[in-house]
Amino acid sequence: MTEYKIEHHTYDVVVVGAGGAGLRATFGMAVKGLSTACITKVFPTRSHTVAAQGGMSAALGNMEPDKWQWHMYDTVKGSDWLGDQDAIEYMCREAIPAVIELEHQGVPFSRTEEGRIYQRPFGGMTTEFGKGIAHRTCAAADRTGHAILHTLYQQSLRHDAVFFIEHFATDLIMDEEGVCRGVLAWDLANGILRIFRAQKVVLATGGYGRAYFSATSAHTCTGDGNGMVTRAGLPLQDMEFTQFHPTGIYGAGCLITEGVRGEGGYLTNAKGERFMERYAPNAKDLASRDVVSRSMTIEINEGRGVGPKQDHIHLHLEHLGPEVIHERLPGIAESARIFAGVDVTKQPIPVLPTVHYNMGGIPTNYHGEVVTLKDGEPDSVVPGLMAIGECACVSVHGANRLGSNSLLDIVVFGRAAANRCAETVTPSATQPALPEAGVAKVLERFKRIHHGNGNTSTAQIREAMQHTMQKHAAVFRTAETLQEGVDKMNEIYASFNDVAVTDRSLVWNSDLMETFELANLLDCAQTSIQCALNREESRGAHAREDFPDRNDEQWMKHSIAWVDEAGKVSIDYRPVHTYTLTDEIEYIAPKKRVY
Amino acid sequence: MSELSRVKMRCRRGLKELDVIFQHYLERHYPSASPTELQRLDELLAMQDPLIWDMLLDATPFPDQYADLIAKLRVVND
Repeated sequence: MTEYKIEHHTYDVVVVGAGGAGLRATFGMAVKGLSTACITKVFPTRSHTVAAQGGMSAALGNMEPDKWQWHMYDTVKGSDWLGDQDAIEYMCREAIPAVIELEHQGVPFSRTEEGRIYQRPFGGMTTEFGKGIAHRTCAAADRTGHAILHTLYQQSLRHDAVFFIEHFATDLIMDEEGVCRGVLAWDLANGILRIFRAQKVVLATGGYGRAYFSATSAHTCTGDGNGMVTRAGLPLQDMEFTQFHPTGIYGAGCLITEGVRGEGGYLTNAKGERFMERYAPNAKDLASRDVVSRSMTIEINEGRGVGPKQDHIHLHLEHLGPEVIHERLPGIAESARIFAGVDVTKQPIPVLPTVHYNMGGIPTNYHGEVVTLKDGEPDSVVPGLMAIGECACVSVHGANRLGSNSLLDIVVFGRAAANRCAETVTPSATQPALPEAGVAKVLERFKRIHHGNGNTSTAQIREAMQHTMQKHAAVFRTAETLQEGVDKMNEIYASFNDVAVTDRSLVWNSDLMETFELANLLDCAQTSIQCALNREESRGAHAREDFPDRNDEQWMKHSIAWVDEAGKVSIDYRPVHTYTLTDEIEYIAPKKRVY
Repeated sequence: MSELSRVKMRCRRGLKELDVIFQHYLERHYPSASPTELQRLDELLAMQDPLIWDMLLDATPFPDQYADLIAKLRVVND
């Protein structure tokens, strides 16, 4: 490996990713006196958390009485009973101190006239177990994600965390006993390979929206941690559960907020019909995300889509008038003009259900420790490895995430991981030498991909994957369409062996980085579509036309999926935790999920 | 090292909107951009995503020297 300049680093903890989860963990570890490095491929304030506008839920009860038990009920119901109730209890309880801490750390939450944190209503958030509407979501204007990133980055620097910015982590370094001992990262600016040794590696790498053609997530969301975990021989969990947002702009994928329909915007098909009246006679265009997305998809599949390819739907705001649009929906007119070339006062916006959030990911317990099924034990902790945020599957969102529970998730479990490390890691403890075989393995893989001299470009393989996932593993799912998609994905996965990396430089080589990212996306796509075919029921965001009902008897369990080097997926299961953390709330038994 | 590669990396943002806008710029305008425009681009890319987005939406005032670049960035459907 003389071709590469290699440098070695040792820290108590290495965090991979600097979105909200990674920064909350980094800050928390540093405060506890652990030497902490944070590796991130983009500048911290450019992580995708910056896009989170809505806010963060916590039962503070600032507007009317509220309880974490009610928040927990909403989250369990939202999850369609696939969420682990010990973890959900933990998240909803800890939400309260986690928000107060953020306030003290400097996040400028919007306030009431009395000076308390202002809280607003959000879909699915109720009081008294579904009876009333809860005001539970705390926001910093419409810049909550940005404010959180900014504050946590400043706090991390203040507490001497070390940042490796514009570094791409490629692989975990595992030893023969299956313990995670470190991580390999490529310094994008100068080509140095850095071998990090740590007592704990914490993955906080976000979602994998880019596995699909139309996604609201930024291009950086490529499931890097998920890919690292599968290559380490560990499974991913509940990968079949992908949340679609009904109104992504056709083509660009950029999000048009739900607020548009809240203000009276409505959807039509090619006949100009307001079709939501048929699917949801009461809620109509304000029905939940999964219902609206599914209705739109049925309209398109039955030949009533708009446009030359009849492959999208129209969203109307014209009737609202320019004043309402500009006052209550700032930015929407501009967004529609830029990305769809549409004047919203005169024309409808072309929209399409668009991938928005990945509920599945790396299985963990509520401390953030990665778990796996090993020797019949489904909660077996993988030593040295943690995962938090969208890349993790704790599982608090189960089959479907509620709005404003994702910012909560990243902060609560970033904090939980730091607390856990404070208990389990001895500061500056002497670490044994890294396993030679483990290091050799990750360096060889780096070299193999760096020198990829096949005939298919990274962009070609990525496009084939994105179109296949969009066509076969989106909202409409049947055994037939999924099986077709699985067959195509198997071919696409194999085509990575023929990948061509055109640029051999190690400095700012975007082609090489995108090739590493593609490998990660392929593992996500492969497990996602195969688990979707495997799960013969409809639950939360996973809607099978051929199995329209939830089947608790057979399917109230987490799917876990391993991928071998040839792309072959094997699936097993972990039980859902049907118990709570304390006796302050009883297990919430399954009911039909109706709103 | 190619300058384009470095700019490409910096054009990867936290907001999907900006990903789309900068990617379009790289394909459509970057090859013919003047040194001054590239300098402005570099300055813009160093700013925070919400600020860039507000400038593009005219939701915040910006210095005149960015006007030409911002006008180009605002059009992705050509």
